Amino acid sequence: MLAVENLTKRFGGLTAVDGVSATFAAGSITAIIGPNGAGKTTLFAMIAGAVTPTSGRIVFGGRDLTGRSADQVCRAGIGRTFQVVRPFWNLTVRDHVRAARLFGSAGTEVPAYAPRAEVGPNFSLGTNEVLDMSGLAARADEPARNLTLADCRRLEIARALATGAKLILLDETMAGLTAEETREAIALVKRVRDTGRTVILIEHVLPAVTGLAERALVLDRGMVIADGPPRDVLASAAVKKAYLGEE
Amino acid sequence: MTRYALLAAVVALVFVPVVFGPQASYFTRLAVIGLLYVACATAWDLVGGLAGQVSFGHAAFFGVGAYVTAILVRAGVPLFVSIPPAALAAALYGLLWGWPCLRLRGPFFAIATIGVGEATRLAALLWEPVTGGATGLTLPIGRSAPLVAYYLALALAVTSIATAMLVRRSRLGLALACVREDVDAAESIGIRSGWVQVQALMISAAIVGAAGSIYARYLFYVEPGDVFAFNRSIALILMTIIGGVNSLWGPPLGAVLFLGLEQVLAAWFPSAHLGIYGLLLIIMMLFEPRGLTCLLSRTSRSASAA
Repeated sequence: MLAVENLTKRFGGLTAVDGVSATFAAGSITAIIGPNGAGKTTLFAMIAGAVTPTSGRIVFGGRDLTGRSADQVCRAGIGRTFQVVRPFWNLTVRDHVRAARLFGSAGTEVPAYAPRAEVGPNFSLGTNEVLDMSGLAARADEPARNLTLADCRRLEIARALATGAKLILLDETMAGLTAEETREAIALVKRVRDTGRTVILIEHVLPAVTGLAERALVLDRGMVIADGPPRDVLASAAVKKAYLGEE
Repeated sequence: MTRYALLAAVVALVFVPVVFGPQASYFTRLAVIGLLYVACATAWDLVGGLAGQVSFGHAAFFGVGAYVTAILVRAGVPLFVSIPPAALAAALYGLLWGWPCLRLRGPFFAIATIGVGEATRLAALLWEPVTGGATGLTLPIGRSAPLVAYYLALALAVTSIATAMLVRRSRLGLALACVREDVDAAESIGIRSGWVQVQALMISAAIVGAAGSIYARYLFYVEPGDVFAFNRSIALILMTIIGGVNSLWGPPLGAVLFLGLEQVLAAWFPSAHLGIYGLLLIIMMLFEPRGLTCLLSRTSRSASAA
C-alpha cells in the first residue's frame, strides 16, 4: 500500500530522518514509536506532503508521491491529523466533514461552483456516517471552538476520514486524554481500521500501541532501530536503551 | 421579509431618478459613487473577509478597469462593450500578482499588496504614451451620461451582492473559509489553497474593475493619482470594517455609511476628516470588531426577546 524508500530529511546540519525504508500493508495498523526528537512527526510530514524530503521516495498504491504538495497527497488518498489539534475554529463540525468530503479524494469530481447544498445526496449521507462513526453527531452544528480537547481530536480523525483517505496518519491522537477518553479513541481507531483503511499512528500511550497496532516501528535519531510485533519490540534491548539510556 | 424589503429597495433605487428628474445631479452623483462603493466593498470582502487576506491594493483593479475603458472608448468602442474587457483585464491583473502574493498570509500579504498598489500607480504615472501620465486621459462627452452611469452602478452593486451571496454558499466559499481558518489544515483535506484564493481575488478584481470602468465613463476623465489612489484601497477596508468583515450585508452597509460620513466630514472638517475616520476605526475595533451588522443583529435579537 505505502512504501517509503531511503527517506531522508535534513534541516541544515540536523538530520531529522535518516534513510528510513519501510512498507505498510493495506488494512494494517502500524505504530511508530520512539523518544522525543526521533523524527516521527517529520516522517509523517513527508508522507503527508507538508515537508519535502531531502532524498528518498514515497510510493503509495503504485504512485510516486515524492515531492507532491499536501493537497495533492490528500487527493491521492492519504489523510492526516495534526499533533497539536488544528480544527477550523469558526466552522461547524459538520462543515469540517463536508469540506473534507468535497475536496479530498472522495469528492474530486464535483464542479467547483456547484451550490454547497446540492453536492450530491451520496455525499451528505457520508457526512452523517462520518459524524456517527466519530461520535460527533450530537455536536455537528457547533463551531469547533466550543469543543473539548477530546472532541477536537475526534474531529481531526473525522476530518481525515471524510476525505475518503485509504491511508490515515494519526499523530499522537491520544496525548493528554483521560483513561476513559483514551479507551474511546482506541475504539474509534479500530472502527476506522474496520472500514478497510490502513492506519499509521505515532503514539506515546503504550496501551494504545499494544492494544491497537499489529506492528511497531521504532525510530531513534531518525533511524529505524526495531520493527516487529509491539510486545517483542518493546522488550528488545535496543529500544530500552533508546528510551532509558544505558543500564 | 428581508427578501421583499430588498426587492423594494432595488425598485425604489430604479425609480428614484425618474421621480427626481435627470437634473437631480447632486443625488445622482452621490448615488453613482455610493453604489460603486457598495459594489467594491462587497467584492473586497470576498478576499479580505471570506478568505481572510487583507488587501491594500484593490485600487489597482479600479484603476486598471478605469484605464481599459478610457482607452477603449477613446478608440471608439461603445461604453457597454468596454465594461467586460475592463473587468477581464482587472481579473487577469489579479491573477498576475495574486499567484505569487497569495502564498503569503496575514500581514505579509497585506504589505505585499501595498507594494503592488503603489507600483501600479507609479507605473501608470510614468507610462505616458498609454496612460497620459499625470495629465490623464479625457473621454469624449456622451449624452445623458449621469443616468446611464447611475443604472450601470446600480446593476453592478446588485451583481456584486448576488455574486458574494453565491460565492459564500458555494463549494469555493467553503474552501475559502477553511483556508482562512488554517491553510495547512485546509491543504491536508485536499484544498488547493493557492488556487482557491486566486479565484476569489479574480472575482473580486473583476467587480472592482467594472466599477472603475463605470467611474471613468461617469467622470469622462481618468488620472493615475485618482483612480490608483492608495486612499481608495484604504476606503474599502474602512467601509468593510465599519459595516462588518466577512459578512454579506456588512460591506454594503459600511459603504453607505462611509459615503454619508465622507460628505458630512469633508464639508465640516475639511482638514481633519481623515483623522476622524481613523478615530472611528479605532472605536469600531475596540467595541464592535465584527462591525455594525453584528451590533444590529444583536440589538434586534434582544429587542425581539424582550
